Amino acid sequence: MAQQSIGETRLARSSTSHTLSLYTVVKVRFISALIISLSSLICFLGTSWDIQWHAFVGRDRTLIPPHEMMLSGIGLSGIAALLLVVTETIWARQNRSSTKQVTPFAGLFSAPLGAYIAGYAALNSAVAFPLDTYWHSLYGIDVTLWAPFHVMIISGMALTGLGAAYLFASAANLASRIHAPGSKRTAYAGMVVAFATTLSLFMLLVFNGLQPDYTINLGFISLSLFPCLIGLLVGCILIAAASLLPWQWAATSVFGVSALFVIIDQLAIPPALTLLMQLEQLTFLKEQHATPPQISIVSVSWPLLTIVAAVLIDLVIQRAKKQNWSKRQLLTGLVVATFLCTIPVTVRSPLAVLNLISILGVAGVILSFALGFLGTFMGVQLGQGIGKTMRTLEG
Amino acid sequence: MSKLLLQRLMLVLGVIALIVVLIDLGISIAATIPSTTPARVEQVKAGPYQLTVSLYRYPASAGYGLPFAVAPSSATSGSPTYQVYSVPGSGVDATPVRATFSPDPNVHNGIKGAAEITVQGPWTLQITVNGSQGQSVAIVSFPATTLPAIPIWLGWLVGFLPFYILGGFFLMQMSRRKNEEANLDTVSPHPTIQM
Repeated sequence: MAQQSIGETRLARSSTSHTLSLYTVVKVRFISALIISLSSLICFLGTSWDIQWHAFVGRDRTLIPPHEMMLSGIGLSGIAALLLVVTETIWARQNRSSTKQVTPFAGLFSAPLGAYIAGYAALNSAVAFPLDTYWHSLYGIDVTLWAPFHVMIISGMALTGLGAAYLFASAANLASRIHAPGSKRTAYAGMVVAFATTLSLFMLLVFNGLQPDYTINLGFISLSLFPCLIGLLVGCILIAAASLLPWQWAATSVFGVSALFVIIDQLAIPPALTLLMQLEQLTFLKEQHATPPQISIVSVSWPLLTIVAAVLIDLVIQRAKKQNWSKRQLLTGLVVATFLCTIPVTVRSPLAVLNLISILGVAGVILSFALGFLGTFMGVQLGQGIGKTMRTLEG
Repeated sequence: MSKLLLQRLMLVLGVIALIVVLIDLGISIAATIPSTTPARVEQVKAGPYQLTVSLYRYPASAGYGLPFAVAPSSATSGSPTYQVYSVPGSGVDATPVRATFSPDPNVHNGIKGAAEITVQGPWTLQITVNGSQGQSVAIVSFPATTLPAIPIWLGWLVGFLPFYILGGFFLMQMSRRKNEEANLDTVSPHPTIQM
């Protein structure tokens, strides 16, 4: 009897220490995810600054401050992810019972899935940087955002944000398991920030779809990739957030944080460019502007109807829950809500859709939006899938 | 290919990529450090000033810094100040770049630094001297080369790398989830519908 009692005490102590250990793991994952999210934000602002620099000054040195800012973000997120993988692997080796809370990799590592995603994404961007310099050295500096290694750099930076979202999800699930509602709520809030950085960074790749030079010419018809890309992106990110977060306005929150980043961008980038021009004793490109620009190219190119789509997505989900919609009804509602963002409206060009008609013709626009519908459908399905995966991730 | 093997392959690729990044970082830093002997020395005139310009790489490597040194060939009164730009030649799609430099401790009134050459093709080093005899400009021409070109389609193939990995990752996640749902179906005949 006495032996059993001592045994029970040992078991209880061991269980308490394991819970304490899990609590530390939640904290470590949360802090790592936060560092990676902030790094992605640094990357977003650095890229926006770089876009501004290319447009108004022209690309000059490889290590200009905007590039340094982007590289700092990439480096910081890569180091944070690597440290987390090493820390959690050590922890998992010491706690054999922790197999459910980690994802094994290559038979050597045991860490959260998000850490691998963020690490590889950062490495991808780091590799793309010298490749981009090589590409510029071959083909000149007047390369657009839709250049091979620009796509590689930006998508890598965006995926570090997605890695952070997976990390926050993992922390939230673990917090739920150890009954720590405060930590769970904080992790959910972090997830909104991580999704917003992913959305903002990927959005940088969508802009060019509206440029007349970047239409796809099929010989008999031309089409724009903008509706397809934005439908895929918004569907994927906002639906993932809305299907995962237990809040009524999850998609709107992600858009709101993303809009906040755009406001920061507008407030910071034009003065930063002017200041740097003075410090570096450079002049603006003659064909562009003689005076310092007061606007941020990224902020005025932001697709405005995304806000309408975000609100509609949340409303559809609320109604679906109240009226117990079938899976098919829900999918239809979400695709229709998301599809609205494929109509191009920006501050820079409020009537961009009319420009599209003049460039592509009516048939080209109809085909572009048909492609946009397909992209939206895929994006919504992908978003629902990501949401489902994250809900049960490493909990 | 088994999952473990695929993961190990990814790990090896990751390590190789990291090594490549570190090597490139090393090369970029080394490119700005001048070697002991210059690859080309030019005597140029900037108005009344006679200058010796040393280029430590000839032809220059596009995408990297070109180390250079400027020294007055004859004794000059006072301390001249310099401004150095690398300027692209005609047909080169690039903008002029201001070079970074510092006083050369071994040469009186001399400077040494690195000029960034961004694109392959003909370039000039534009050296503006401002001294007791006024301001004048000297020009030194040099070519810049880069690695052999890869086809544009290959660039795109590599550039889309993150999307292949992302696509593969999502497919694996979906198939795993379907398996899990199938297992749940066998346990419970009435699975709950979630978002």
